[in-house]
Amino acid sequence: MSSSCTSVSTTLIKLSRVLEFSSFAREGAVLILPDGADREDLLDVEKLYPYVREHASDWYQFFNAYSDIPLGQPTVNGTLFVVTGSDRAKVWSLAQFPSSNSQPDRPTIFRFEQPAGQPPEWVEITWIEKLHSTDTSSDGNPCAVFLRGFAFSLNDSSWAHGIATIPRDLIPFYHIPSVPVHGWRADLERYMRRYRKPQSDDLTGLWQHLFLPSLVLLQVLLELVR
Amino acid sequence: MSKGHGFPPYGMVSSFRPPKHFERGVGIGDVGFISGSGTFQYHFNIFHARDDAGTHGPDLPRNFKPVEPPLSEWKTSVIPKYFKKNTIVRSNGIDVTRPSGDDS
Repeated sequence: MSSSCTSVSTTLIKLSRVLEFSSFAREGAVLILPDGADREDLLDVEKLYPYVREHASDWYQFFNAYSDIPLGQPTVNGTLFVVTGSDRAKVWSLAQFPSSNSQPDRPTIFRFEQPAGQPPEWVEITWIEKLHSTDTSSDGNPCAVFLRGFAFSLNDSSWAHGIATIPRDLIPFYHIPSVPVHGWRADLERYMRRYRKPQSDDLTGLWQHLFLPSLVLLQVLLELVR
Repeated sequence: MSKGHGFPPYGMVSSFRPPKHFERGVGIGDVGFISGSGTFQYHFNIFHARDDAGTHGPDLPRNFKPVEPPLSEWKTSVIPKYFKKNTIVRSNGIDVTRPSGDDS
């Protein structure tokens, strides 16, 4: 996801054949839904909790292959997720720019173009990550563009009872989304990063980064207390 | 997130997805995890029976049994076209314009 989940505003705009997006934010994302999207949600989510509590240990053991030794790609406590709602669309286009590529002294600019009778495309003026529904294995089928749900975890004794301890160097991690994403403090952060030495204990390169919606909530809360 | 839309997965590329799951898309009762690349890695659905072929991933937890009652008896909210046609969802600080010369 490359930490593109800043606080989101929704705008209904009549799409023309060409849209140009520009931003001085450190990072950001745009999702275009040409045919809209359907929403479904479970309303009495709390009624699921006893069932999940009963099965959580078995599920974590399953995801860790019922193994007495840690897997090379373990499923870490707190990362399993139960979906309780989603927004689904058959056609969508996504563009995002992570903080590692944006510059404080020039805007990120990109275009969405859809010539008549042809598939849409993102045109990069500056570098972006881009994806269309037609690029994925879900092409033509409903694809979730937003998920809602909850993660769950085991207490230490439950974990120790049936699952191998995961060595520290196998625990994936996640880069928390940048805060703030725009303004002078964001620019300052980007200038500092440009001259900052790489950390000796840099963990980049691991197979997976821990990513939980709660981390995004943390980002939103941090924005609120700025 | 601040609008309450939820987590935006980055595409839906997952090697675990069975045929019926492709037809339905990720939805209520799916269990998995969100990978480092931002995709939801689906494994099974708690509302489907163990022998409901084509709905679960290739393996199931040893003690798996679906939650009761069936999903049809739970309170749900379904809103077709919650996002209207031609909706643009963009994060804060992104401006959108129509360049001159656009003939649409």
